[in-house]
Amino acid sequence: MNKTQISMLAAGLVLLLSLAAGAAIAAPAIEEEAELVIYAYDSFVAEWGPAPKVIPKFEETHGVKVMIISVGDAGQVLNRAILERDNPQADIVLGIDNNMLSRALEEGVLEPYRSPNLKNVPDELIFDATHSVTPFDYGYFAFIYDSKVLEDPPESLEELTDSRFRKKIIVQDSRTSSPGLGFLLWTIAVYGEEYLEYWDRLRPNLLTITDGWDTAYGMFTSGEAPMVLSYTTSPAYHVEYEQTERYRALLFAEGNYLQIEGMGILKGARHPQLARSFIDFILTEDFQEEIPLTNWMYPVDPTITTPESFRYAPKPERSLQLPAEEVRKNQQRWIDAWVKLVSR
Amino acid sequence: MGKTGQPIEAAWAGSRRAAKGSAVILPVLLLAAPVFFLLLFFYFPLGSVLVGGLTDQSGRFSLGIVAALLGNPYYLKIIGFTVWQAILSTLLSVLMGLPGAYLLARYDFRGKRLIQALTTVPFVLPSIIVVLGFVRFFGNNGVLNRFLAALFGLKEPPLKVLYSLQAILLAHAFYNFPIVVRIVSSLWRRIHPSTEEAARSLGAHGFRLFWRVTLPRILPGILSAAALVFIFCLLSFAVVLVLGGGPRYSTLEVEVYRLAKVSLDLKTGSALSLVGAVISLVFLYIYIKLQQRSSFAEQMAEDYERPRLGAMLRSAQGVFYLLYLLLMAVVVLAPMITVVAYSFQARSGWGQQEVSVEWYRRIFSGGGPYLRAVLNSLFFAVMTTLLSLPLGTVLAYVGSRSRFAGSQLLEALMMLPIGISSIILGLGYLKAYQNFPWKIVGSWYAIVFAHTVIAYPFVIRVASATFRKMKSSLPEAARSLGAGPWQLFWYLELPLARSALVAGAAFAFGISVGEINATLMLYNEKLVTIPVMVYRLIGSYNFIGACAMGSVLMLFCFFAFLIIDRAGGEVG
Repeated sequence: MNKTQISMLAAGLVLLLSLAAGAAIAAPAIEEEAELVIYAYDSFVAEWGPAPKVIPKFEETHGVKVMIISVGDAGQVLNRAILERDNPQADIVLGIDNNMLSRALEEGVLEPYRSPNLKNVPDELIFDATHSVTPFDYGYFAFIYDSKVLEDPPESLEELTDSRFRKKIIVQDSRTSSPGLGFLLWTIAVYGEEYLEYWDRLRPNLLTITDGWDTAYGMFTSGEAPMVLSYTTSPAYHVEYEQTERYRALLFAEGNYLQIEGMGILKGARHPQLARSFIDFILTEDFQEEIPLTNWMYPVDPTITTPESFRYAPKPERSLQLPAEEVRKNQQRWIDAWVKLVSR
Repeated sequence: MGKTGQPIEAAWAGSRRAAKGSAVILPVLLLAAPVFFLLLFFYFPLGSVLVGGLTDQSGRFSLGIVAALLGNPYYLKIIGFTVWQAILSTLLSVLMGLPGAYLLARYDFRGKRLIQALTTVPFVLPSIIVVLGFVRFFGNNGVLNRFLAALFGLKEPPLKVLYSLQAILLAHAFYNFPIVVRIVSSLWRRIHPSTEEAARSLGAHGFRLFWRVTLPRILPGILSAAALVFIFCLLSFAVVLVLGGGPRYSTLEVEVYRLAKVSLDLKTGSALSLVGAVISLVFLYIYIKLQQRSSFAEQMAEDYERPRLGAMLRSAQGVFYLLYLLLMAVVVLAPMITVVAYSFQARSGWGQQEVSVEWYRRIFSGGGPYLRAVLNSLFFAVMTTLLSLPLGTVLAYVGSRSRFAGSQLLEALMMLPIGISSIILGLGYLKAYQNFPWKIVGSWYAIVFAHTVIAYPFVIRVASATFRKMKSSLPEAARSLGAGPWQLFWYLELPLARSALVAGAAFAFGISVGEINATLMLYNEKLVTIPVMVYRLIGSYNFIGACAMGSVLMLFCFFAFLIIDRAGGEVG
């Protein structure tokens, strides 16, 4: 026996043992353990996200066990629900926003439920008239700038195209990123079908277009460009955790584009009654008060007082939004034309 | 084993009286397990997704969607660019990796193990960490430009490295040169230097010696490495988009991502992925064909005397290698060091002098989610390595020993898993097993199996380069002495393939540790891995934490590669 053979035999033995051990402690089946199963996007579930704060509250008041499962990013949540349409594994899907809504309704995977607690929510935030999706928070896309570098930031979408910002802006790709798509829709809400001309004027000022928000924001805080597409609430993070006010959000004269996030009950859910209780729960103070500092969005209940750092998360006077139906019908065409332009 | 010059025949001679009747049954049994595994955990989930791309609305077979894609000039342009950048990136990675492979294969020096482990680290890094490292080092506001601007009193950043095709190629070379270094050196060190010595005594030197004598001998290894690098570059997308400067440089994978993850159009998404897989297959077939043609058997040795590196570096030719090492330090080490340096910053932004170990304290304070992520990654990676090693070795052995018509095509097909987008693989797992009586998604073995499927082609490619170089006279000699095929494999061919298998193990480990796309679809709270943690941290503004986690990943892989090399008895 030489060394190689001994290692290989040892490796084989370890493999067999671990397989045996694994089989013995086989993965617990979800439905046996939990009484309510929720699919959510990853940052909602993370240690510092809302889930660890709000889920125990619900479990305590209802005396049940909730299993909240991260299935990747927000798009994946709906994807998963569609994939499992015939055999739903979850009761609730969390993270369907106003841009995804028409797709979710079209697929018919959700069961409408009108919560009595919707009385706490302003009408303009109740974005699904069928009540298949109930809103729980909202925010606005905004450009964030580094006030240590940029002394004279733009005041409007149009001014972003000014030549003094050449190669100073980072945005995201509308094909792969939700802020990226949000910004494209924003330009369409402002310029209508002339949005391509706007993008043509904006192009020289774009340093790069990234696949997702994370890369863009990382490059921004690394000082690679002084402006980035993000959310109005981004500065609040830096105030809250880094005690710095250097990063500021820009409210534009034309208005900022609105994003509303909601959740819905799946058709064929195993625990529909409990799911409805959970939908009621998300509109109570217990849930709403945790949203600002864990999900970096505004609570849909306007009576909730937001933390001090949210003074740096300004709300725009003009909120922009395209009708969901229009987005669904034209999205593909808009993106395709956009790609054609920016890849020239 | 591994004693200098020990005749190989002696190694098995003592045990040749072992069982002989198993000549036919054993290979069949050996092959049955991998084939079963692949059918169940690769072809079945893949098929359940791809079937959507190959059927029309009424569920009948149709090439309509594929044809529509191929008739669309936008997709054709993207396909063209994807292949083009992959070819260029592969050439650059091979050029960057070859001198390193030479140094590791032919010279001895102190800290060789450390260097070899270190050069493999870039391979495992999540793309977001690579992009941040590149931007912070090469960027307009990066270390290099700040240094040069301060040195020459300039206002504008002097080096415009990023946001161009060069930046894409550089990042791909950074990612993939470890593949070239590892695979080529694992073959190179087994080839006895006697031929080169003879050529040198006949007056061949320098480039001529390399071109005429050395290159043909290591070509199977280069082709193996090139095939893998090529496919990786074919599937790359975040690096291409961001460092290229936007959608003008888009690869096929951007569109697969868009269709499968954003527009939720699985039919078109899987059709496009199928197109990508066919492109990979065509190129894999060419590589394997070339490899088969260029492989000639020659004397291989487990070990032999190597000169000291220090002496060579002080000689005239040493200047070239010193320059090479300097270049590698800039291209490979500097971006990684920048990431580590960032992880010690107290807050984000430039010009922050405050140093903090806060994130390391959080990561290593017991019981936290970060440490659990490290342990999970370790567990998945060990399991993946243990599964893909035998799987890949058996398939490589059968592939390199069979000579029937179409055997190259079969070999290319066995490599298919790395040509398939891991997004599609993850979706396949979700779709295929949902009505299974046995819970797969959300279990640890789903992740291990998905990682294994992505990792074992590495073992195949590395091992087949070596198996093809072995002299056919060895098996004949063995047979004449009464050894069966099983003994031949166990006592003769396996020990000669040792360094290839060590390289394969390192890559299988690395693939598992670095994998993110399929893992993100299959994991649950208890199964968070290091890259998932990096992704989570970045998703909630914790870039410094993400870099700290990325640094832990680098350190962790560095030690893992050291241990794998040592366990395999590699690098003396």
